[in-house]
Amino acid sequence: MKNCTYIKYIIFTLLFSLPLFAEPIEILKIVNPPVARISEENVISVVVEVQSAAIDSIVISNDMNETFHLSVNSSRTHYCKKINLHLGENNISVNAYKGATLVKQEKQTVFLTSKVHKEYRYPPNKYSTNFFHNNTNEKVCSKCHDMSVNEVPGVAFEDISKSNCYKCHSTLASKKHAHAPAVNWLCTSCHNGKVGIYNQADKNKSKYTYPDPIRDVCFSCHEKNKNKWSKKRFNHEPAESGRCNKCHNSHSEQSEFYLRTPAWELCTGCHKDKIEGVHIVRTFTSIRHPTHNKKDPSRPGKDLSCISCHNPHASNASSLLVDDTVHGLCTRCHEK
Amino acid sequence: MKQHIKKIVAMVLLLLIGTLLFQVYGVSEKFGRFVAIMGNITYNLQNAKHAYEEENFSITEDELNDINITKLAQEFKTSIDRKKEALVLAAVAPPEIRIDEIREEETPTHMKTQAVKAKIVKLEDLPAKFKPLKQYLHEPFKMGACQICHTSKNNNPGELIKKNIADICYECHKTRYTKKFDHTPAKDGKCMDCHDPHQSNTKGLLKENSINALCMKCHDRKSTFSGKAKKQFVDMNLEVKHKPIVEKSCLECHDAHTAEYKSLLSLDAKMDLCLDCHDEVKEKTTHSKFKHGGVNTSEKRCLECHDPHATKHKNLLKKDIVATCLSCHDKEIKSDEDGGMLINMKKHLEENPNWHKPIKDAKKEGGCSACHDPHGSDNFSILRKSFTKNFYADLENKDFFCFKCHTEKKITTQFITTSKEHNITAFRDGEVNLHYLHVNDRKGRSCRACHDEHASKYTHLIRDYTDFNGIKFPLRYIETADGGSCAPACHKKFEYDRVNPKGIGK
Repeated sequence: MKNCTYIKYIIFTLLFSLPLFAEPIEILKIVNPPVARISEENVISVVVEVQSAAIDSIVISNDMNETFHLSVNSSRTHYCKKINLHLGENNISVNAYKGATLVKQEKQTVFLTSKVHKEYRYPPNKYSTNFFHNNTNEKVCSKCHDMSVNEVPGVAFEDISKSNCYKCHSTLASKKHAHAPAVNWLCTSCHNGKVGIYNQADKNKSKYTYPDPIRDVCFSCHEKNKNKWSKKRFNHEPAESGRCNKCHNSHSEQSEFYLRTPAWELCTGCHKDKIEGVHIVRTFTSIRHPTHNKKDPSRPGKDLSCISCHNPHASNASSLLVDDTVHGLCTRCHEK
Repeated sequence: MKQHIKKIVAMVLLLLIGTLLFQVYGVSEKFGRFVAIMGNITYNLQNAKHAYEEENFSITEDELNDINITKLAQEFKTSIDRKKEALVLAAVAPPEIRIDEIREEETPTHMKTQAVKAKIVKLEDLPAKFKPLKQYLHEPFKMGACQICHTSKNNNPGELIKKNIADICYECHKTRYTKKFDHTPAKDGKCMDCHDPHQSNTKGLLKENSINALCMKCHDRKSTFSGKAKKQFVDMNLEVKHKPIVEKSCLECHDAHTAEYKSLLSLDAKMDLCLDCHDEVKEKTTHSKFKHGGVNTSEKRCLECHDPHATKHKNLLKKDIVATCLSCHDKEIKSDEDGGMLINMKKHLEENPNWHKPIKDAKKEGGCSACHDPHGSDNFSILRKSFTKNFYADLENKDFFCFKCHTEKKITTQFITTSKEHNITAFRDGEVNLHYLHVNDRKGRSCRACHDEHASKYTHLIRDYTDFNGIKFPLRYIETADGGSCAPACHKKFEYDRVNPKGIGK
């Protein structure tokens, strides 16, 4: 009989200790970005989950001293806000307030990579690629957002704001020079869920991956270039390896041709030896032939840059020059 | 000292003349170039890694792939097949033809002696009904040899020598009708349905005043005749008639008695017979690069669109000029040209209310055939004149069809300054001609980049979607009182205004 009472005690203690093992309901939790995430775009959506009874407002802030206030009401548990990122490591902090008192603070780090700035190209080891559009996240978002793809393949939106992608990603296509499929929100024409030889690791991780190299996707429209470049004798490595997106931002960019930075800065990012020193021609005086900061006589209305003389994709002339002969090259600007 | 001065002056003069000569003949320039060239040669001899060979020194792998071997093989095969066919044709012996059958029918001649044998009835003895008063007389009747056909000997001839009239006719008119298709009355031996055995005012002793009238007696829609002929009626009361019928007669195409082809025709009715006269169309249908499936591969060929007798519509079309085309193009049709699908034009026109003028004023402007040649053309889409399929097109080569009606100034005038010129184009921002801006460039756009040549929901036939490399981008055109705006894939939303310029192109 005595044994029986011991068992009762044990059962009671076990039952009452169960809540201790269960995950405690958090007042504030950052759903996105997850721990140490790599971002390729300079805007990120911060998604937080809150216990609405415990707090009144949330303040999200980034490194650039930008703060966003969100007021919490009892009907919603999840809140999201787009914030800007700068190159490299970004610290995002989310503060939850009840009245004027700080109830809880959460922090997260995001690394914004760059394809053209070498110092930011390879993030530290602790960061990892993460895809937002997974099942758990989409389930959360679908309370407010329509998460389905509503684009008709091959037909652009008459009213782009009707695209389901537009609502969250609108900043992607807001810059001066914009790529037509991007500004018309034909997202899945590139984000087709496929992977290439360089991003095999991302296979099946998201329905919106794009193949790396991106070449075949680009050539499906820019078909003429494919034929043109393949017949040329010399090729520029990024173009030949098919990674068009190394130099071009396929959404929108401030520079012409959607280049990630203006052409001269872009080229000299890799070809650093051309920044200083004598390039093009040695003269008797100390004045060098300019390579930038001048108007380009051969391309009216545009600035002089590397692409005034070099073809960044392919050419039959050595050094990827735009003309086969030196005479032809110089006379593009220096008319007799 | 004076000697020195002289020397110095002479030296200076010599120097001056020397430099002048240098300048005039460009000696320095030539010498400089010579040095540069020699320098280049020596440099290249020493250093040049990529000495340029000729551009087309050999065939690259890509070019090899471009050569379509299967096509060459096919061409070779067809030529061999053709030769084989010719051999087979030669081997087949020509069908046996009996000379008496193909002999042309001759009008029988009557010998006086033959007439004498039959009792000659005197003219005075003939009843009033049979007095030979008409223009054409049957020869036995003319000679009064009634007994060739009739049995009785008195003034009232009465009974015939044979019961079957055809047998009497064939006694003299020996050619039997032995071709593939016979005219039903001729086949049934009802010669008298059409011919009068005694006399007539029409050649061929016809019962009516003209050939056409005789035919129409049975083959008219309104005729009281019942039978097969009524079904094959022709409504000759319609305003547009086939010329040969009006100017000559039905016999231009049809044979009254017998023929090798259906409908008593000498050639196949669907096409060959028509092309026998219509040389121009023959040239187009047989030799043009692009052919219209409606004529060349359809079931009824010419008769698919045309009625050979008479219709209400111009060019003997069965229906109205646009309706004729839409009777086939009311569904997506596979193109013979490139195997692509042609759009459902009927649906396209129904959905888009603003039509291109030739379609809108079809009667006046010619409908579809104002731009397309329904019989065939050397230009794609059987267009009457060259056009481009491309989004981009160089201005130099823009010998476009559009400029047949629309003035070329629309795209060649850069600025429109005077109000006189305003009628050239309304697509301008102040004085800047926006057509010029769009078209005159390294990447000049063709008309069809922005305009739909058939119909559109927007005014000025602005397309709702422009096809750029397989993706349809909307133009998002909005018209205002003095201008408008577009927000296509090519650029962001740009506004233009004729009165208060928005500054496009600056």
